[in-house]
Parts: sequence; structure tokens; C-alpha cells
Amino acid sequence: MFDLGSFGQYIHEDSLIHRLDPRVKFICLILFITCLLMLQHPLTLLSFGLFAFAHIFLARLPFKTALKSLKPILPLLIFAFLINALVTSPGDQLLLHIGFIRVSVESLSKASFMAFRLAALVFISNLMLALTTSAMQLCDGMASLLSPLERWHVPVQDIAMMMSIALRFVPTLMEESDKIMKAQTSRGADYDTGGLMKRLKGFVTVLVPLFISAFHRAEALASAMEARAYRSGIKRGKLHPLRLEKRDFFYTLSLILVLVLLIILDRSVLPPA
Amino acid sequence: MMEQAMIDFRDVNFSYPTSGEPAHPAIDKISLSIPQGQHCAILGHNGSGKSTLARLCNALELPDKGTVAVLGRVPKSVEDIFEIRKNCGMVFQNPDNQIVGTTVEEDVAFGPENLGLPSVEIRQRVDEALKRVGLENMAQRSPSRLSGGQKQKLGIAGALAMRPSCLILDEACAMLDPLASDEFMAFADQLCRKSGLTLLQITHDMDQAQLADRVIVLSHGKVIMDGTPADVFSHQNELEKEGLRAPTALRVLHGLFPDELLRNGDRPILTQEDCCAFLAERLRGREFITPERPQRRGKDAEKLIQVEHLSFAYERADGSQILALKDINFEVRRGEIFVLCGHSGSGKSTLITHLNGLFQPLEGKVSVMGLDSRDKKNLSEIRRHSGLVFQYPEHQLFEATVAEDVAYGPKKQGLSAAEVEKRVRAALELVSLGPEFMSRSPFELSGGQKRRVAIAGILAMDPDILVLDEPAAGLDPRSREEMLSYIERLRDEGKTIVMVTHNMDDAARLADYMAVLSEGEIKALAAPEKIFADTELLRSSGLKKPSVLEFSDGLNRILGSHFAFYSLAEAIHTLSLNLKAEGRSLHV
Repeated sequence: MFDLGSFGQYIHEDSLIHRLDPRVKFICLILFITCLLMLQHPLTLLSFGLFAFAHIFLARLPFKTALKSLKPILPLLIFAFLINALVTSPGDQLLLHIGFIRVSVESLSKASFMAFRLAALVFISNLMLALTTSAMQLCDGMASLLSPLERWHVPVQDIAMMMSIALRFVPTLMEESDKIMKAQTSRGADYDTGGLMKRLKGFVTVLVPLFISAFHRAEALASAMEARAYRSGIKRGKLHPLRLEKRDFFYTLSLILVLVLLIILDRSVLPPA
Repeated sequence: MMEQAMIDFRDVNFSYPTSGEPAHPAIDKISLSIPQGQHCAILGHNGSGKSTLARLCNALELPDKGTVAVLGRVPKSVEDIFEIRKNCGMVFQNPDNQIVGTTVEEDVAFGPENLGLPSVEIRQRVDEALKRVGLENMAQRSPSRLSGGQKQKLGIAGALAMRPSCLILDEACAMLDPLASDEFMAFADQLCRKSGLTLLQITHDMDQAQLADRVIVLSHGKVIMDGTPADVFSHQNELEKEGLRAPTALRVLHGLFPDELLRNGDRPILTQEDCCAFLAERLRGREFITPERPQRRGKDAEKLIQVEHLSFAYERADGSQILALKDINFEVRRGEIFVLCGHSGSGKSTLITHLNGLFQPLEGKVSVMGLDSRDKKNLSEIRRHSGLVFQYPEHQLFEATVAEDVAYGPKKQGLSAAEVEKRVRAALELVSLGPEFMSRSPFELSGGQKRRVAIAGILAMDPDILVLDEPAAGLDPRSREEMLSYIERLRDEGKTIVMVTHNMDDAARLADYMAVLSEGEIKALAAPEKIFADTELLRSSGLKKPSVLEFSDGLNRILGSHFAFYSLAEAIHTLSLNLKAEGRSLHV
């Protein structure tokens, strides 16, 4: 077995967020992100963070799992923070000056804003989509939103099917690569030490078998799908047809209300920080 | 008017397109007709064309010459093909490669969705299909959380949701453990008989063909036998030649009376009961010779592996821990075959990953040749002494030639080029692959050969201990037999072997000492004689009694004797001693 972490892992629950129409979730996510990018004041940003955080309860997710979904981007966050902290402009209040390292109050606050925004962005995307929407729903929603493109002969349904299958096979292939790595380790492979080149070369021993297996799987899967009467371009039915419910309108409306309120507070009410 | 045949082959020829070489026919002029409602088993070794036959039924392939009609419909247009695929549901070998959905119900819905049915109807069909296979309580579950047997039942549900009249199982049991596989076949047989579905079962396991009404044997794309199971199984010489193996009891009988066409009065001999009755007739009322089995574990042999109070747990995504191993204690001695058995998910694979330091104990201690695996400095030394061959090791080959792949391990050990070369040759020799294989690509070899290359890759590191995880899983009978004989040979060469298996026939034949693992705990640690005498232990650990022992039990029940056979050879040897004792000639 293999711990996949919680990135991109759907957790089944029966909650308001889980039951929302995936199209609504996509649109709401866009609203969230737009709002996040517009907010300037630390207090409104913090309120936004709290509001996003509250979605853990709305989605009835275990606390730890939701937070853990940020783990994979931790290195990126630190990197973004450091880069921004080091970029100072003339006239700033310098806090630290050792050689080329110059950290100012302004750069530090800018870096914190940046890191906070990034974290909030990933967090809310995970909560709205990755953790609470199954691969099938995700693809259905995407296909439905993009369906106008079919008029220009874009094979939206095939693309959606391809995506859903790719998502479905991610855990399988990760488990497989873990197995292969263990096997090669017992033949003396070492993936943890040595220089970059040596490590990259080492990964050939994982990638070749992994690719071969993926091709075999793809072939078998294609047969299995064909045997169940799948063909590109057919008109397919739906077990769970997408239908907008009352809760979808209710949620979207409340969301818009909160976000607009935040923006108004940010822009006109609060004194500049 | 005669009822229309479910599937009708007329002079069908088919070959896979090849580049360069002349096309080799996969199906060679086959004509056969399968009536509605029949349970038909199609047997043949790998490459006999049996899977191609199944693909032709479902219009996944179209014949080069001749016609394949399903309920009278020939695949001429796209509509025909759809209609045929709707009528012939198919379940394939590897469950993980046929599941499309991320939940059980989404997967079952895939077929009906393709038919463009309205949602209400899809819902109805999904619920009905799940109920028929008994998965209705798991509709929302992720398929990855199902057991192997449940995954294949999900495959059946996916087919049933299309409302087919025929179910084709293409080696659907090949990746299941023996108990699960028996259960699955009995289930499929019952289901089809109850609802009048035609069942077409592609397999190389003759035990499973016993349930069928009709057995068709294929070889090189031709039908070579076609009849009732009893008919077909009585032609053992031909079957052996095809690399197929009859059920154990029949093989024993055949070994004792190779030239007779065996019948019980006017009834053909098919089941184990028939065989026992037949033998009992000839053995009744005499003193039986039951040779003593020697204690096979060496008393003073050096302890190569010692596991003491080992516990291990996995961490789940949500941070909780699942205990995979609980307080494990055992030792492996020099020169023996130590068999570790247990059903799927009992913790076997986790346990053996500790035996070469890939996992380090969470609690307790594992030492290999006196080296403690908790000390990181010992790890490379431990891996040199203890070679681990994972399940399906052929999936880990990666080099362009067999020689390079086998050389990977010894090269990593830093040996000289000459020494590496020597090791590679010796290792390939041990698994009967001659020097002509060295320059070939491992990917163009057969399944059994690939696996031997992978094992040679470990042997080339010259370990004292070889740890094998299900070395014979998924091989056809012939390759399986070869694999077991290589393992015996390695033991004779002085290697110490730890073998993980859920096949109790293999365990009975090879084990010097055994451990039974269940739910992460060792339930029994003893010589095979003791383990297999404990029927309750086997049942509670989800293991199947070896078929040779089932056979000797059957004899004992009739004769009141005390036979206990652990391998086919042993059964034939002991019984022929007993038959000879009366001065009766074996070849009447």
C-alpha cells in the first residue's frame, strides 16, 4: 500500500458541498479566486481565509485531511515567500542587510500576502473540487460547461472521458511506481543519494517499466470499453444527470453576497492598513 | 424450427496483423456452434487462440474469412456490432484494467450510458445488476477498495446492466486466489443457469471447466477436442501434450494406469469421488503401506533469518494507522524452503519486504545472517544476502537485452566486468535460459520466460536467501510446473528459500516448514504435515486444502486407511507400492 497524500484525492461524504452541481462549483471557484485577487487589506484577506476555512465544516471533511492537502505545495509556498521577501525597492525600511540579502518591512509584508493568497487559492480549490468532487462529476461538469464548443467540432465528450480515465488511473499508476521502485531498490538501485544526473538516470529503471505497463493497461482498457459498447462520438446517457437544484442557487447567492461584502469592506469601509 | 444458436462460427479464419513476417493464423478455420443457455469452457495453453475466439464473439475482432453470428446477427454495420456487444457481455483477466468508474455504481452505469438510455432506466439497471451480484451495499464505494473477487463480480454487473444473453469470462479468475476463484466460478455458473444465460468461459485451469456442460480444447487456432468434461478429461495424454492439466485426482489415476481408458462400469470417471471409488475397488481389504514422511527441517541447521516480535503499521491518508503486522516471530534455517501462506491481504507481502530491509520494523527486530535490519549501515549487506523477488517480477524489467537486465544487480554491487558476465551466465543457466537469450530483448519473450529473466536478475546477485512472492502466480500450467521445479533445483543448489503463496498445492509440495498468516498475525508455525492436518485452521485462514490431500482424504474415507499425500509424485509412488504389493500388474 502507498500513501497518496490527499492531493487530488476525492473523499466521499454526504454534505452540502459534495451535493452541489459540479458546474456551480466551477463557477463559484472562479468567483472565489476573483475575489481573492481583488482583496488588498489584511483584515479582509483574513476574513476571506476564515470563510474558506469554514468550508471544511460545510464539506464535513476531517480537519487534518483538509489541511494536509496543502502539504504538496509547501515547498512552492516557501519558495514564493523567500523570493518575494528578498525583492526590495529603494526607499524601503530595511530590516536586514547582509551582503546581497536585503529584507524590508514592505517586502516581508508583500511576501506574506503573496504566500497567503497562494495558500488560500490552493486550499479553496481543493475544498471546492479535488476533495469534494468525484472524477466523474468533475469531468461531467467540465464537459457540460464546455459543450458550446461542440459547435466548432471540438470533441468535448471524448476529452472529458479521457480526463476522467486519466484521473481514475492516477492512484493505480502511483501504486505501480511504488512497487517498481521497491523492486529495483532490492536489486541495488538507490533513488535517494547521488547527484542530479545519477538520480535522473536511476529513474529510467522506474519509468521504462511504468510506461510499458501503462501501455498494456491502456490497450486492455480500450478493449474493455469497446466491449461495453463505447465509441467516440456516440450520444451517451447519464446515471447522474446534472440538474440545478434549489441548494445550488441558494449557495451561489450566499457566496456572492459574502464576497461582494468583503470587496466593499476592502475598498471603501476599512481604513488603509 | 431449431432454436437459433447463441454463437455460430462458420469457417472462421483470423490472424493478427504482423509487420514483415508472414501472418500466423490465430484462428484457423474454426466452425462451431454454441446453443443458447449452454455453459461452455474453452481451454487451451497460452497462444492457442482461446482469447481471440472470445474477442471474435464480441466483435472486438472481425474475422478475415468466414462468419461469426451472434443470435443470427453478423457484424456488418456499426448497429450490428453494438447489438452484438450488448448481447455478449465480457469480463477480462485483470480487474484493474477494466474498471472505468470511480465508484462501483458509476462503473456499472458505463455500459447503459453508452447505449444512450434515459437516466431513470440506467438507475434501474444499475440497481438490478448490483443486486444480482450482491454488491448493492457497496454502490458508492471506490472500486479500489474491493477485493479481487468483488472486482470481478463488478465486471459481471457491468455486463449484466447491458441485459446480455451471453456472458464471456476471458480468464477472469487468473488473478484471483484459489478460494476466491472457486467461489467466483461457482457464482457465475449459478447466475447463468438461474437466468438462462449462455456462459462462455476461457481458461487454462481444468478444475474450473468441470462445471461446464461442454469443453472445447483449442490448439494453434484449431479445435482439437469438443465434448463433455468427462469425455475430454479422459484423453489425458493429449491434454498433457497441450500443456493442460486435468484435476489432481484424475492425474493420479492416469499416472497409475497410463494406458487404460478408465471407466467405472459404464460411467466415465470425472470427479474425485469417481477416482476414489475406482481405486478403492482395487485396494479394498488389505494392509496398507503408508511410508513415513521424514521431518524435513534440519534440527541443527543455522538460523539465517530471525524475526522477533515484529509489528508494522501503515499510515492512511487521513493520518490514522492500520496495523499490518502484529507480533510476528519465526526463523528460517539454512537450506530449507520456508513457505509463508495466507489469503490476499493477510500481510504476507508486507512481511517479506522486511526480510531484505526495504521496510524497517516499527517494533521488534529482524535479523538476516546475524545483521540487524534496524541498523541502516547493514542494509546493503542484508540486500546482498537476501534477494527479494516480488509478485509479477517481469513487470520490472527495463533494459534492452536480457543480459543487461540481469547484469543490473551485480553491476550495482561494483563487481568487475568479467565477474558480472560470469554471474549473468550462471544465473540464466539456473533458470534454463541458454546464452542465446542474452542478446534478446526481454520484452519479446513469453510470460514464463520473462519471469525467469526477472528471477535470474536476483540470482545474479548471488544471494544466500531467495525470497519469492507468489512465483507461480498467473502462469499457465506448463510454466507453473517449470517454475516449481526451478525452485526445487535452487534448494538443491544450497539456496535457502522463503516462498509466499496462497496456492496450497504448491505449498504442500515444496514446504519444509510453514507459517500461516491471517489478519497480520501468525496463526500457525509448524511442519506442513501438522498445518494441513488442521482443517479448522485452514478454513479460518481462508486457505484451500491441497487437492492431493483432499484426494487422500477421499480414499481414507472409503478404505479406512491413513494415506496423506503432499504431492502428485508422492501419491503415485505410494499407491503404486500398494497396488504392487498384491502382485497385481499395473498395466493390465
